[in-house]
Formats: sequence, structure tokens, C-alpha cells
Amino acid sequence: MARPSMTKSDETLGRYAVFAITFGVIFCVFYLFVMNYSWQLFSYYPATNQWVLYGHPPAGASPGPAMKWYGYVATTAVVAAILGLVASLIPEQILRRFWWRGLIWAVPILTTIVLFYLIVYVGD
Amino acid sequence: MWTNSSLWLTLLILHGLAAFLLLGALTHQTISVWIPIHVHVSSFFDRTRAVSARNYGAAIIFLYILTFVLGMIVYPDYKLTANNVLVNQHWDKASLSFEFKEHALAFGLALLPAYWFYWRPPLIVERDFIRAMLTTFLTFVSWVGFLVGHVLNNIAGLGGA
Repeated sequence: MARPSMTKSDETLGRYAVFAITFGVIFCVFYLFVMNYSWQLFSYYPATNQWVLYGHPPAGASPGPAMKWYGYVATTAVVAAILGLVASLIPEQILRRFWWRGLIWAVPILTTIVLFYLIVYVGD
Repeated sequence: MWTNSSLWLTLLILHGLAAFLLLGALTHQTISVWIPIHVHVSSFFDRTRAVSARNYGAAIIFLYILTFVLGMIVYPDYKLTANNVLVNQHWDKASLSFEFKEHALAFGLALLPAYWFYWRPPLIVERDFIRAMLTTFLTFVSWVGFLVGHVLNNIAGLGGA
């Protein structure tokens, strides 16, 4: 493990770090729900170049394939950003009772495994 | 809008080149955080380990976002061309692998703010492990994204022809 010139104490992380860690963790977890339950903020129909809110069908007889992924990312990013901001306003002493910085690496690994399971074994 | 346009092909190649640069930086950084070297450097592998990982952070964030945005731009064309080839030929595993790629890369994007925090100087000893794990995760999803994209392109051919 690299240890180049590191001296500063890691006692407190600061608001940005709390936001960044919470954002990443919430994003990875909530994304699975958004994807699985189709909670996309909007959908895009590239064949007709139409954007529609949520999963509403667009106007026209044959709109072609829908793209929900942009909407998944948007929904999840908004929710994760709000919760990250809320977490960053909570004093760290209180936050640490139910929050651990190691979640930022553990959660993405777990959610990626769940993601693989959902895609391969559960399906769309 | 997208079909029969050569614009997407240019963007796709740029997307691939940006991904290639990103992979180089991330792979170097991952190797250097897990097996650093501080003594005499002689072999090719030693030189790979001896890079200054701390200098890669900003470049990696920039390249990740650039690659991601270019991927978002060319995605509609993939949906209308290459994906059609995969669906029509019943290459379900190939099609599903793209789904995995897009979602996993979104996870990686969400970790960039934390990645930036952990690579921001001065580097702190207590943060070594999390820094290494975040870097490794980003490397993993970037390699998955690159390999899946590359293989699917080979299957469908440029332009999904």
C-alpha cells in the first residue's frame, strides 16, 4: 500500500466528504430499486427523438425502442444528492452512530453483485 | 436523427480512445497503490508499479466523465443499430452484458466525488485502504465497460451492419 508523505489526522472528514460518501452509497443502493421498478424520471425514444416524463408512452404509432437509462441515472442522482446534502448537515459525531466511511467501497461491490444477479437471473 | 449518420462513428471512436486513456491511468494507479515500489527500478513491471499514483486523480476524473458523456451521446445509435443486430440474432448474453456495463459504469460515476476526496492531497495514511478500494472498483468497472463495448462492436460491426 502506498504511503507517500501522509501526516494529517483523519479524525473528522468534513461536510464535503460526508456528502460525497453518502451520495455514492445512496446512489448505488437506490439505483437498483430505480432500475428494478422502472422509476426513471424520463424516457427517451431515439427513433423519433422524443423525450417523455417517467415511462409514459410518447405520441405516435410506433415510437421504437425506449431508453430508460438516462432517466435511471437522473432519478438516482437527484435522490442521492438530496440525501447527501441532508447527511452533510448532520454533525459528524451523531452521524457516525449509523454511518461508516467504509460503506463507500463495500456498498458498490455488493450492489454490483446484486446488479449482476438482477440482470442475469431476474431480467428486465 | 441518428441512423445513417457518420457523426456517431466519430464519437464512438473518440469514446473508445478516451476509454483507452482512462484504462491506462487507472490500471497504473491501481497497481501502484496495491504493490508500490520505492527502491531501484529496473524491469518494465517495476516501472509500472513505480508511477506516482497521486498525480493521476484529476486526469482520471476528467477522463471518466469525458468517456461517460461520449458514451451517453453514442448510446442512442447503439440502441437503434448494434442492439438490433444482437436482438435479431438472439445474442442475449451480449445484449445483457451491455446492460451490466451501463449500470456498473453509473455506479463508478457516482463514486467520483468520493474518489476525488480520497485522492486529494495531502494523502492521509488512514485513508489508504479506502483509496485503494475505490481505485480498484473504478478500474474494474472501466475494464468491464471497455471489454464489453469492444466485443459488442466486434459482434455488430461498426455501424451495426
